[in-house]
Amino acid sequence: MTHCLDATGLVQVHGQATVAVLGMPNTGKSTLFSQLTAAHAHIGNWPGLTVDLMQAELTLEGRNVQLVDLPGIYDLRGHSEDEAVVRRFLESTPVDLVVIILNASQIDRQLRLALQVRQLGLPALLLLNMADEARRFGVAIDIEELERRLALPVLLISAKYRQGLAQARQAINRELAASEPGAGSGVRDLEARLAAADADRAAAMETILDAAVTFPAQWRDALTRRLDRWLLHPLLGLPIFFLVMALMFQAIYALGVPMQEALVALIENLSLNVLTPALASWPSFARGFIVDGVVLGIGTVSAFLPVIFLFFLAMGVVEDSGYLSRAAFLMDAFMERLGLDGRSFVLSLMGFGCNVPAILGTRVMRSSGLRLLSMLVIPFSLCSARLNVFLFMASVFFSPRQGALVIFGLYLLSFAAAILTALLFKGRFASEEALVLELPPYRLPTVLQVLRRAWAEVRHFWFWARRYIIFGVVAIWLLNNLPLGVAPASAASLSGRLGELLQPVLAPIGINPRLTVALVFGFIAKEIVLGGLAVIYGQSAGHGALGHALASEVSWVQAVSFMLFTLLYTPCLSTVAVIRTESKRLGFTVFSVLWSLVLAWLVSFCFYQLAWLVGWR
Amino acid sequence: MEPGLGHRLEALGIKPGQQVKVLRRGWWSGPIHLRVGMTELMLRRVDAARVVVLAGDPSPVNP
Ligand SMILES: Nc1nc2c(ncn2[C@@H]2O[C@H](COP(=O)(O)OP(=O)(O)OP(=O)(O)O)[C@@H](O)[C@H]2O)c(=O)[nH]1
Repeated sequence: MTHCLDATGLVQVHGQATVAVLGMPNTGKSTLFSQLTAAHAHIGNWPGLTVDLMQAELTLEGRNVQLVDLPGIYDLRGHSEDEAVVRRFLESTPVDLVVIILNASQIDRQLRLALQVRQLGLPALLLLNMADEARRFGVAIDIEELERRLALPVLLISAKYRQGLAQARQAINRELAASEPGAGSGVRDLEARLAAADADRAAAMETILDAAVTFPAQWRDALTRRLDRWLLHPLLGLPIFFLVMALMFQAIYALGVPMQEALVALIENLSLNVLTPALASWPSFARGFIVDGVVLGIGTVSAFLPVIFLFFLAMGVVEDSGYLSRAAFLMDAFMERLGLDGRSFVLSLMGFGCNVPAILGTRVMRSSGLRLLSMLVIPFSLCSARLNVFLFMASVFFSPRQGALVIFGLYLLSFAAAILTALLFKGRFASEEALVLELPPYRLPTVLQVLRRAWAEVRHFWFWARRYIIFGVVAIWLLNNLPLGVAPASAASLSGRLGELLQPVLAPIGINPRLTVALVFGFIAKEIVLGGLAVIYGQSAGHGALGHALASEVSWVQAVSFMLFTLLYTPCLSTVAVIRTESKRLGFTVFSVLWSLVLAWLVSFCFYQLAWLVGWR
Repeated sequence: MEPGLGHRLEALGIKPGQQVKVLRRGWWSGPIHLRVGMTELMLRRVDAARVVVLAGDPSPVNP
């Protein structure tokens, strides 16, 4: 295979055909893509477009094919960001075949997209997915008639249940065989051509549908109807939803935390029993750097993985079943008044597990104002890592009953901070987005499907997160151990000096220099706050020794102030990193971090000073 | 009507002459739940207000 640069500067690979997968949202495009490509897909920047597209190189019946997954779009003439991306892609890339994927049971409206592609004269193949649902709902499609009228090959498949996939592969291959790879060019005058054909399209669609499709006289999805009667019930809908969510978090927490602890223990073991002896001959600074810096960094990232995996597993089930769209329906009225919408609510809830996947989830939003406001609000969700710190502090400073109240109060504050933030900034991040969401029929997710999805998410997380977190952990380690020869995290170290330096700001909220260093640790990840305190106080967190050392130096009022601050300031470096990559705006990322710091300081200040006035010490 | 919304609604099946069935309304003036052809949608009332609907005939909605 040879590479050469064509006139536009793009690298073209000879002998490889480019196949683009195009479809409406929610038609099973991703499902089909992963079925066709197995594990070969990767997300990468598409040359000439500044967006990431899912791509895979595969051999289809002996032919080299590059498969590209385009974003799901409703309309080639639409105004959303995704729709513009697809247009630019089609204009700039010579595609050998467009695989159009539509939901067979909704062909009554989705056929429009196929007609648009045909009007552009692109070589195309139409896959009607969800054949199972079409059958269930009584939509009968005369494939031959449809093929004849569209002058396109048409196949009825069911990606989720792996039906018709072999035929789809053969059909793709057949179409490619009929054309010379790389012979085409990008579409010219795309918008003008579509606009010109607009008027005829509606009529053409009527005619084709009349001739080739029979719809049921009566709506047949009794299951969805019956479930919606309860799950969207005006009074019971929300309580049922909260109950389901509570159970889900319970399950994630109950399973994930032991897995996380086991993983951390494993890594600690390896580093203590394998790595440390292996590096015994190294100078101590270099050894410390590797063991307590780099390895701790990797350990911190990996510790996230089990919870993230379970989290996406649970979310996958909720989402694939169709319940998530119902949650958006239920909460939209409230969220609308905060300048957000039903989807932001769902994502904030996800944030109570871990903020990172929740922020990734804002991709479903098209309006940038709405997306940014959601990203500003989500980090206030009290994630499980912060809960760890609070459980520890509460057990040290309060009786069990008081402790439970304190934690409950922190949850309330977490909601209050999110609501306040939305109310304050909804004007700045106004959304012009009209909320029109599909409520798909209820579906039973398959085990394989949710497992595969969760796995893909974990891989994705690992890919980007390790760079940022490892960098951060190494930086903290250096702060604690420089200048050379100081006791780690002591007053003479850089972080100790930082603690002193910040006293004018942090003393008024009751945070002493040692707690300041712990907060600096917490900026990396709340998971290492306890470990950080242990290093600082020179006591192990395990056996109550740290608790005693802490309680002898810090009052309960200071402890609460510390918890308030920990709840509200930047959740972790991963969250900052994901806000940066998702918003693509440095300024917004800085603003989000600063706002959380300011709010955290103000709340802690009010609490600490009031407590002081009242005489609590 | 905002230009994007018209296109979006049409792509979701709400086009001139189309029958629309309202399945339910959300609490606290929340969104409405619609059935259009073979698709179910939620639509905020403010957005729905921009669509002109003629009172439907009471015969069963088809499909
Ligand atoms: N019944 C049925 N459901 C399917 C089939 N293929 C996919 N699905 C389900 O349809 C839903 C949407 O599938 P995705 O693959 O996420 O769809 P998509 O087109 O990539 O959607 P976007 O990510 O929104 O663009 C999922 O819940 C799938 O499980 C099928 O053949 N039959």
